[in-house]
Amino acid sequence: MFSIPKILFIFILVFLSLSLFQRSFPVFHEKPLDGTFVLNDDTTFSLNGWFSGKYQTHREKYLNDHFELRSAFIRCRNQVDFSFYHQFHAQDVVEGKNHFLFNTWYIDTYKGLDFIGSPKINHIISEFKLLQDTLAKRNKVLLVVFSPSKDIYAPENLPEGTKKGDSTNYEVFEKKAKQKGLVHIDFENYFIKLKQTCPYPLFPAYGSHWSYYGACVAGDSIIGALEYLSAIKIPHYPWRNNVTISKAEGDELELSNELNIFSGFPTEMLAHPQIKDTINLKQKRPSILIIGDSYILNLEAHYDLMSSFSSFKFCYYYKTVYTLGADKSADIDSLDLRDAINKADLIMVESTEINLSKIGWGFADAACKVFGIVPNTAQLN
Amino acid sequence: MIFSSILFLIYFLPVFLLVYYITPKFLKNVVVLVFSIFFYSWGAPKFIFVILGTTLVDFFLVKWMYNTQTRLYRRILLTVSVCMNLGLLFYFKYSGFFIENVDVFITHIFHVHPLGWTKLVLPLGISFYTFETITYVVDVYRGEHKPLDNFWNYQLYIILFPKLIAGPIIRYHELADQITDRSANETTENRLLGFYRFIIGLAKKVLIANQMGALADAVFKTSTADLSAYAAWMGILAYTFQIYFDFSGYSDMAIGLARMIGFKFPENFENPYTSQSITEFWRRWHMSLGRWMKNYLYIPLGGNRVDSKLRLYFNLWFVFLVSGLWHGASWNFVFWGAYHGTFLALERAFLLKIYDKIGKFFRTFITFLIVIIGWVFFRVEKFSDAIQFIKRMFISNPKEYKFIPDPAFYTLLIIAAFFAFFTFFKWTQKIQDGVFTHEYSNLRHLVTAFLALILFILSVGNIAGSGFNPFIYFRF
Repeated sequence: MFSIPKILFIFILVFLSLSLFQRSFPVFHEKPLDGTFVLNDDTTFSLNGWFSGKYQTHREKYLNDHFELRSAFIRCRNQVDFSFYHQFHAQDVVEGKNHFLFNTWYIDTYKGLDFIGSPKINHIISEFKLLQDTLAKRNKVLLVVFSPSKDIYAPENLPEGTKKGDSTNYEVFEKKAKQKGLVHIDFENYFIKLKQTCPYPLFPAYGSHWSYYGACVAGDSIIGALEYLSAIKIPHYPWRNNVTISKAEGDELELSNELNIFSGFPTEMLAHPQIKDTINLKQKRPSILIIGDSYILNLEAHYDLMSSFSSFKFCYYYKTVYTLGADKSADIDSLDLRDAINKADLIMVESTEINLSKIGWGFADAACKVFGIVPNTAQLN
Repeated sequence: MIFSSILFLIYFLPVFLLVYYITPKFLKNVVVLVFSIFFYSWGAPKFIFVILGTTLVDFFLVKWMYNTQTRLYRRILLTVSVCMNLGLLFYFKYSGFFIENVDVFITHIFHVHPLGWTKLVLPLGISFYTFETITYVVDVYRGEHKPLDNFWNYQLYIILFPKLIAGPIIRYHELADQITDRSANETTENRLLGFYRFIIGLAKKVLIANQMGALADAVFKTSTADLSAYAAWMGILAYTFQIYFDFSGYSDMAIGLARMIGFKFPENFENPYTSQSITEFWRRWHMSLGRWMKNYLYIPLGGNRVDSKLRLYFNLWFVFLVSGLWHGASWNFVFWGAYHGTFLALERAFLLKIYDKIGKFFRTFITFLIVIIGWVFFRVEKFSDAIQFIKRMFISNPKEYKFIPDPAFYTLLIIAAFFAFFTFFKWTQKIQDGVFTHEYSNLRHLVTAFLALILFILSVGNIAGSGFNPFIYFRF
């Protein structure tokens, strides 16, 4: 009754209809695609839209982005292209030596393609120095942090033929910061020094940010520096004797995950500090206002930076405000900067290499305005 | 809607097949018709009414013609129907081109204001649709087949979605009987073989043609002044394989889909790049257009049965000129048609005799070279730019354009060339015949279905993961 061809054809029909079945009866667990991409929104039907063809165009784009099992289909395609041609389907990831993956923005910065010039850097550093001195008079600590980057940490693993630019933002920022006496932490330099002695990698091969271990090392240094500058004891997690070695995970795989393939790179073993609940939250802790980029999010996730402070306000790219205890983030326009600075014992401005040209993202200008600081030409030179 | 789209593959196709297979036999044509109307309306929501209207008029005109005994009346009705359909094609496809050229003429000669013309949106598949309506009226006029009794059956012949927008162009008498009864073709074997054919076409389009097209686009976008000879060759080779795998892939999908629902469509391609002359090339490339041109233009012009050789050469040349114009309302298509027509006439005159002496390899090589040069005229709209491109192919350029193709390009180019020339040898032709004609054992079905599903997954992944999915033949 049911011959092999008949059974086969029924199987093919079922296979063709899998996506439709999955829509109504989600049998398979579908792992979402990693990376950043914009998906098309749906549209509503109207006769005008139909006859102008706009409805069909929008609807087709929407269906293309939202059909069930899409991620599995795309991963299969990506895996074949990766396995056969070593081709990536991620816009901003390149492979260096020893399977190290790099974000192309960092490589552009390493080549000096985004160098903004010494006069501009001098201006930025001078403004921060002026702000730092002004806040110091008000018993506030302003710490500037240059986060590390993978290209400077592991230049030996950059793609073949990558040449460092004659001038890079980081080099000139660091030089000017030293010249002007700006109180800052230079993690680029610190990580390079630690690399020789540190038993574990501070950057993962397949991630863009520091490793969990690197984040904890940096976290300790930041807390140490803030304690020293403010003379306030800041509680933090004692993690150094509690490190396990296990496979790279989470953010440590953010670049390889962005390739959306099933497998392709050797497993990397990394050190994972175990952050345990040992901070006494009733203990007196300072409050902090931070302006920074994704390195702070990373630090918060892996070092639990927030728990070291009684009040924690983080201005992400000085655009979105995350506040300890608040359910939602807020827009920067809703921030009363004078109040935020007055309430904070400590202020930290952090940026990694690729963002140095915009460090503070407008915070320094806004803060100078709040405190009526009008820098003269001599101060800015 | 196009076959190689998520909308078609993930939504339309499974729903259509499920509904079609569970529908009782007497309602199957209704299902196909409804889905065909939806398929076409999706891309041409206004023009669908023009199709429905003109087919209604056509249906009754042809019925009237069939029942009319007087030859003069029959001719008048034939002329009315042909003029109506060609008029529609002319209005939508050629009016802009015609007035543009008239404007150039009158403004230069008579120094008057140009007539001007609002550019019209070309309805999907109008060139295919028009040619099929003409076959209906002409086939009935010639007595090759009686007209269909039912308007909706005629509508189905015209609007049958597998072949509606990019062919093959099916002559009425080839399909007429299948519309009313195709139960003999509705077997599981045919459904499976149709599915395999559909997937082969899909893979040809998505996995080869699109990749070739991406590189061809990059090369043709570059100014010829910056092109190296190597890049120009890679660009035109990529385009040569793109157009073949794109169009033959679409035809495979159409033939496969039709077979899955019991229709048998004529073949449209037969390894054209292995041709040993341009005459043979046109017997293997877009065969359904070639057959149409022969039956509805070349033979009415007198065909081979003309008084002088000059007239024969003119007929050949004229048919190809029209064929070129059919591909697009632009001088480069006209030139491309005339270019092929010229080679056809030259082959009739003396070239074939020379070819006989140079051996199969050189014949194929020369033919392929002529075809490649022809594709330059087809691809590049401006004649002077096409000449510049051809110069660049043969004269080295000191200015180095950095030619960095996609990592997959060379592999796919080799795969494309391998399949395009696979039947060059007799023994390889036998292998191909075996694949497509020998009976399938159960094991062979299992293996082929497995491979087909892998190609389906990769094709869908490619479509979903890439915005690059153009179809060349939709312009025609």
